[in-house]
Amino acid sequence: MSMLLKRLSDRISSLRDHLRSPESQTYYPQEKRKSNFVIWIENLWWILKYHRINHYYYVYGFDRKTGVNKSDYLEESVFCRLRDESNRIMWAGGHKTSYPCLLRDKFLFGQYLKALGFPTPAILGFCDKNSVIWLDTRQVEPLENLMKQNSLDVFVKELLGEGADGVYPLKIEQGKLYLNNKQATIKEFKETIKDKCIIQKRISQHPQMNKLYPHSVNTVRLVTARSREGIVMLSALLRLGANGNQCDNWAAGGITVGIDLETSRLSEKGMFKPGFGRRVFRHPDTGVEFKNFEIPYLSKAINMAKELHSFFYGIHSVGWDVAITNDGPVFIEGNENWDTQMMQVLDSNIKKKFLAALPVQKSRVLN
Amino acid sequence: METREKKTIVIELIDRFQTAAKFLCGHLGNPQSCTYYPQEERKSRLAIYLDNLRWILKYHEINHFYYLYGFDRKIDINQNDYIATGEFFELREKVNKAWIGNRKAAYFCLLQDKFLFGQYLKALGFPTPVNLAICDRETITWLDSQETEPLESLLERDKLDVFIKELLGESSRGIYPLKTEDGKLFVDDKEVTVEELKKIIPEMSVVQQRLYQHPQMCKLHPNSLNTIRIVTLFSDNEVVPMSAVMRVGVKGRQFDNWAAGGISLAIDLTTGRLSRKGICKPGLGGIVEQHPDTGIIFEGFEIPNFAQVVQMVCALHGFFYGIHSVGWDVAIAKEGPVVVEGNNLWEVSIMQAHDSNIKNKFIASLPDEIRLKIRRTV
Repeated sequence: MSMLLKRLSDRISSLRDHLRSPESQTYYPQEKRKSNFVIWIENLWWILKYHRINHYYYVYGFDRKTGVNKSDYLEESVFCRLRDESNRIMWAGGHKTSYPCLLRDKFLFGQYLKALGFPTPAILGFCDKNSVIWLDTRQVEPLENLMKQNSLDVFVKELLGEGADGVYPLKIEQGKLYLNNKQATIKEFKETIKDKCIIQKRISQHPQMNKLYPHSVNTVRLVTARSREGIVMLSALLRLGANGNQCDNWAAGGITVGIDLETSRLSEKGMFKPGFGRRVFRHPDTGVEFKNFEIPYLSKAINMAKELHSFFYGIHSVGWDVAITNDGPVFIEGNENWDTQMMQVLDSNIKKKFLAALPVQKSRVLN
Repeated sequence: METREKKTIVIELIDRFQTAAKFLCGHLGNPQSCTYYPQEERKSRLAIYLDNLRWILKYHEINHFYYLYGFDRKIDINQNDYIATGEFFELREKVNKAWIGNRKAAYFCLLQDKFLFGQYLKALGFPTPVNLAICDRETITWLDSQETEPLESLLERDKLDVFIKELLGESSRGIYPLKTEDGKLFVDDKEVTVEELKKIIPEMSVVQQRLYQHPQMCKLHPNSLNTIRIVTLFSDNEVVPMSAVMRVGVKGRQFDNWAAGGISLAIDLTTGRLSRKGICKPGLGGIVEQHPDTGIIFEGFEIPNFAQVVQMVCALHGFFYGIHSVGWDVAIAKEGPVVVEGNNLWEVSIMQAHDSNIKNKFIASLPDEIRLKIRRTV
């Protein structure tokens, strides 16, 4: 009972923060906005309809008087339900099985792409708190043996981690271990990792991508879906790290910028996640202007993503995280949970495209 | 509960009761024709009837393997040492609910999907039949070119010698040997057109290069690829081999599956030699000590590279960390062992028919929390 009351009180305070001084939360301060009363009513309506707060109200620009139709947006829980139903409907020749582990498990994902010949960062081994297994020798060694490596420049990633959680940049140089760019002991490393992790080779991104922001690997998120006409592109955006952060995740303070798929160039605005910032037109650290910035190898990445999705025949829609290197696109991850909320910030057409690609249209969600 | 649901449950119960009654009557009717041990002293009809009734009451299932396990013999066999199919399924499901860290993923597709299985092993560097393409009834995607072409493009690839296998097929169902020569297609050595092929093959299949087995394995039965079924499991976070059987085809058939009439034999895990008794599935034969077609005597027959097989599947299972127990199908090629399949459903009955210690070994490998619950239930 006390837990329930605590949850209720947390929600009320979260809603209060959400509705407090809308003018300071808007992403569009130059535009004509709705009155506080209307904003309050609209948020209440959303809660009654979906049983949750719309934390994306301002980033979607719903507080503006014109230019946004709320019914064009897909609520997260509705998306999750439709996605899971679609993935259940997917089958391979009359038999059903569940395929999302292929995307969720970073080791499986990497090995599958390797076998199919798609570029992906090489996985060198596995580790947990006690041991490490190197794939080339298949030898199990104590974790301390990491220090015997002459040089190592890798990412240690939790096997089933999501977002930037459980991702640790690790370097070994001249018998010293660096974790998150700071010197650490093997004991500290052991305390940091929680469970089974992969050891993945670090990649270097294309100089053009470094211009945007050099401290993180800035990845293109490409969303593809299996429609009745075959594999189609749903949407694309670029994720950039910011404020000295080493990861580009939106949820960890990164910026998302829209991509014009026809020209392979960035659109003009970049958006921070609510709580991290607002709308920007230049990168706050490097000062690079987004508008018309060209992404190298983008059309190649799109073609490869479509081709790759054809080998993920058990999954309806995938959000691919693609890094751009000197040699071309490299697939870092595939996500069944591709963050509709983030994609919708820059593409208000997602709902329409996603519903059109569903095996069976769920007309009631259109309302 | 809705009235319709209640009705379905009642109908199912009646149906189960009828099946059980028929089965028991069958047992009473002619037990001597069902036995695998006609030379040995056997129980009376009444004792057999009561044995089966007790099994049904205890496990809520018919023991279709009563005679296979030799329960009809008068010798001292403790039926409690054998695991019932339903009990095994339940325990397997419990232990396979894999959590890694605080997250969950179902890993069965890795074993169920033959294409995925092959690609995973390829990436890990374990020998497995080469996947050449993936196809449906209209198109084929060749892995070498990553091009999707009409199914007719099969004819452009001369000297193909492959198996077309249903992607998620089980046992020998949905498997077709296919060859191409001089622009002609042959299925099961009979010429067919592409249109005929489209009608035969499953909705989605993998095209897999054919394997040729070691001459020593050909001696057993040359027409089928005779495979080892070896079960490994995680016990205290380490992979250990549990039991192994050899499966041998008969009557010139291409498949070695026990369910399709093949013979199964126990393999000694330490020596890699076959046992004396070859067993056929209930209804498809009894016990044989030599191959009915080739005349090979089973007892002491040595499987080449067997130690390597055990080592290989244990190492491989380490990469299937989300699945507690796996039944690996391993062929022996000239170059050494080749892992053809991994099975989540590894047919506990065939293993128990040869090894009465399976239940103990399986339960001993379970995590403490599950094992303790079983003890409490018992």
